[in-house]
Amino acid sequence: MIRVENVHKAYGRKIAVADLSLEVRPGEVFALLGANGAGKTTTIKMLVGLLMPDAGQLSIGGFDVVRQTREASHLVGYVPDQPYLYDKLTGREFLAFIADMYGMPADAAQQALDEQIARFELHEFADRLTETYSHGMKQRVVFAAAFVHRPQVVILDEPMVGLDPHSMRVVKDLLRQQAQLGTTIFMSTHILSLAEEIADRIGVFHDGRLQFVGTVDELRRTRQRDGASLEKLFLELTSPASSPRE
Amino acid sequence: MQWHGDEAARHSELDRVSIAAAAALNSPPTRCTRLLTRDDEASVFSRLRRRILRSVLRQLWQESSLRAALITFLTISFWLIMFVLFHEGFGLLRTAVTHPPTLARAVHAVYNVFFLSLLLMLSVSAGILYYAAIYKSPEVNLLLTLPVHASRIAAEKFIEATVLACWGFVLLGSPLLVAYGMVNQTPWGYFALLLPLLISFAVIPSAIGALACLSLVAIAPRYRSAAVGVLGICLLGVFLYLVWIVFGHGQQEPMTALWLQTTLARLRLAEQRVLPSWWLSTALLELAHGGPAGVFQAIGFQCVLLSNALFLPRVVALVGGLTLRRSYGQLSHGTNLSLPIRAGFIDRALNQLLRPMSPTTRLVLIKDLRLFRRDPLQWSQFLLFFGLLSFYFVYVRRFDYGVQLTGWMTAIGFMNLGVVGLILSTFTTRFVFPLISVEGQRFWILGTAPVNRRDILWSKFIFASSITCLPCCLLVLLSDIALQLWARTPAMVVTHQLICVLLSLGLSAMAVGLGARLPNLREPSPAKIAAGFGGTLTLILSAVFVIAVIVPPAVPAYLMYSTSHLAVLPGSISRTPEYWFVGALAASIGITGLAAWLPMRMGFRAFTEMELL
Repeated sequence: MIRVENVHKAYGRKIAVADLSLEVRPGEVFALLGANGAGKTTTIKMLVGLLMPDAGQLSIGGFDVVRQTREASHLVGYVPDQPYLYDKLTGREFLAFIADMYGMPADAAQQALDEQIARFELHEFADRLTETYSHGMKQRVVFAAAFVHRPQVVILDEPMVGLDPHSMRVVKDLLRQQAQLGTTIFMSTHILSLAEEIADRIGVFHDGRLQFVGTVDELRRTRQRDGASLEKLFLELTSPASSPRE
Repeated sequence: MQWHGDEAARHSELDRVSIAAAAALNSPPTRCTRLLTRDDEASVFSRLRRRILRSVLRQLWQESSLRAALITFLTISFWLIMFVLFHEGFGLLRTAVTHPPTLARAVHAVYNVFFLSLLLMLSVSAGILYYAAIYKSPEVNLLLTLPVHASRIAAEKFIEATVLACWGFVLLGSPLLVAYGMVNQTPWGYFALLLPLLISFAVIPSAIGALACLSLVAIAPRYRSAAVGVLGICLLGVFLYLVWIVFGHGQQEPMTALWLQTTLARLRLAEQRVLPSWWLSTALLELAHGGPAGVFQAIGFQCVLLSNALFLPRVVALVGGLTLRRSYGQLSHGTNLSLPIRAGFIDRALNQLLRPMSPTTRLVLIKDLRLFRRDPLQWSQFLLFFGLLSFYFVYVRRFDYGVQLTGWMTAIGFMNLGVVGLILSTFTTRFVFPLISVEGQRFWILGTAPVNRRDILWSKFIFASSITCLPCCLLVLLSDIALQLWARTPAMVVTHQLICVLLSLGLSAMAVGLGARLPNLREPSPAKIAAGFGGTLTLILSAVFVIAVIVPPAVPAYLMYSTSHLAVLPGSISRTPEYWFVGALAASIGITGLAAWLPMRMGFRAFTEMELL
């Protein structure tokens, strides 16, 4: 569903992503791990069409993200790390705008809005202007917006930032549930326990390079550290002593 | 699974949707969506804008009807004042120039220059606004991740920038043109076509600015040096051309037939028939004086303007569609990451220079100066306005003024001072007023630090007055030198400098004080903060302050050097203008003191009590 082939991206002299190749299957939860500045957000921004790669190809559902951006983003629901909502719209109006953008017919859009409002329990504030929302409320509306058009791929950049423990639980359950229904989940996170709990596979980024791709168990086997926590394995992989692959 | 709040209330709403939701939560992804056509996208955005507008109006009406009424009242008052001024001016011109063809030619030439200037200024202004709207807006970050054509995003942002750039033009241009029509008793067709002509014209420079912005940003990241070089050479070429026009002629005595002829000849630059400004001015004058044939000609020009106004936005959308995604990525996601910024020599020097101040004031002041220096949007507009004014003052020097005109020179000197003051008031409103609101959003940094909040406000005041005082004083000095006032009345030069300092202190205090008293902590954009109620009020009060400080000493100063007397004034002023001048100057100092003290006091109180959000 998501295919990344030999992608390279640099900001001036700084290499943000180097020779990245990756494939994520339908119904899979994939978590991208890495320290700050490792290249996770750059990868996500390339996948959602906010950045263009200097070299290589990215495709979603068979659509080239650079050449067929609209077709690719039509399949995607995106939860950014810094959500943007129109201050002068209510949460419900914002969701309606997103449904309109994805060309949903009026009745299907109405049904989808009701579903998302119920799912994320937005009914208490859905008809208030979003400028009055707390960060957590905004984050929940952004989640609802990402799911309103029933996307085949959901891309999340640090999805748990600003959520309370209840909300985190809801999101975790939701992501697993959607994956079981065939939705591809691609997320970046600093929370290793989240990746360990819900991801089918993880990718560990370090200095713009993917150091490892596979399950947590595979990582343990590769590093010959049975029973080691993901935190320990991650720190070993991303320590300064661990030199990037060429 | 629960989020927050009262369960009973929530469950009633949950029941309503629970059946549909439960079914949907457990069903696989379905394809109930489609890619929108370009027309569909336009409809969705149109709906969005309508919803936002409705929401803003409803909120304005429900929560701040007094504010809405005040804004409406002030706007109408401003329009009426401008109308009366233009009406009187055109009336005076009509009685002074008795030869109708000469008057028509002179008005046409002035219109050509006026609209050409607006064409240039609107292009620059719209270009800057378009840049901010498209490359600095978090909304675009959202829109680019949706399945929407990039050209539609470029088009929507163009509409936004055009409205922001042109409303002032329509507000300022309409009383001028209505006044001209009424003084000259033009037929009704003139008034009927006025607004369509103005709007069609305004779209053209806005599109030029947007196209320049898109092209420059698309080229700049890869060929930055070359792009900046080409732009620099173009600007230098225009500057040299203007210098040649202005200085390529000998000095002349003003207000003579030869002077009029030479001036009109110089203004031929604005009469190029490819210029939209010429189409507009010709259409207006044809409507006013051309009779039935003129109406047809004016309609022809309206068609030309309209077709351009419809065509150019399409080009903006097309270029935006081709360049936006790549240039947005290059620009918004850091191409300068490898360039470290170090504390410069200026900061170190300032740190030493400001040693006598309290550490808090000094640190906040240096921080503000650093932000100002690193934000070209702020100083470039300042530079543009003051550059144009300098050019005008230097131009004034080309005339040979006889000794008998000292009174007039004094009056013009005060008028120039007024222009500097009014431009300064727009600057302080636009850039100084939002300082506290912007600080307010990051107020936790200073609010939680062990600093005296009064020091923060003082630092803002010192920052504002220091960056405004020096350029204004220099500009007014340039004006006085150009008017040869230094040789005639050095006392006037000193007076102008003193008033300039008063203006700088008063306007800065008003902007800082009112900015703290009427902050907008929700709005991240300084431009929108300045355009709100607090900014509008500050702008109006600042304009009143400028007039109140300049007019009282200007009148007796004129009488001191003029042989004529103003009949409307009491005889005592005409007989002893020197005493009145000194008294008026003292009054100006008093007004400045009051205008600075009151807002700062209100600001101190509000800022001290401000809560962390």
